[in-house]
Amino acid sequence: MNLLDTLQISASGLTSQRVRLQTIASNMANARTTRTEEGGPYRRKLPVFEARPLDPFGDALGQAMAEPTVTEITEDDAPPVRVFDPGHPDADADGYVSYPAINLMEEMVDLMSTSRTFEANTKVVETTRQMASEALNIGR
Amino acid sequence: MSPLPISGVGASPWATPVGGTQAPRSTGQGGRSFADTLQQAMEGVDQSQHRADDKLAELAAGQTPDLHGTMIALQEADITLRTMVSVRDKVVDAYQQLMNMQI
Repeated sequence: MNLLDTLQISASGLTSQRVRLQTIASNMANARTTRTEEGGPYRRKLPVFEARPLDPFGDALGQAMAEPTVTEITEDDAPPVRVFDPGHPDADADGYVSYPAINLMEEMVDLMSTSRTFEANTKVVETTRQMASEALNIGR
Repeated sequence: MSPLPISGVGASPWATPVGGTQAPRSTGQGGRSFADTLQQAMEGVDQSQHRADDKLAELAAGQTPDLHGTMIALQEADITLRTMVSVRDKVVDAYQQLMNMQI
């Protein structure tokens, strides 16, 4: 476990936030998508993060520190929103169209949270670099 | 008058055996000299430089979306290189101090 291992943890944090950003992009872009390959409207995607030990065979500190990884992408099982629109080609017999249960405001809040978490992780990287630089300046 | 303990000098723990099988103290007792350690450290620096290079090439070729990973690899290469330069400065400094010593 050294100073540069901190960079590894932060890099995993950045990667997982990038995946989260992708799911948000997908959710936002498909907020009105009524057709999918599996049939039915688009379902909201949610990433699942898992903490993994940084160095499972290393020293105690390496085993205790964890880095996040995205292990799977789940789908929100909220029922689709039904909107009366008989002219729509995907309308059912009653004239209702099923739209994905995606709340754009909710996605925006997730987006801000992702952005801030990413920023926080870059801050850790920056601080790690600064600390290494300061350590190198000892006795200069 | 007792004989002078001349033979005792050879058994002194500070004496260097001439042509002995044991390595001299100055090269370290673990079998690895300072030069070896330095060599290994430089290889580590070289590796991190290559890693950064590879990441940069992959990013430029569009093979990886790992922007931050590339930047972190570059930072790592920078830090290790600067550490090596600092160590070299210290070693050269020590060498020069020894060379400037008045005899």
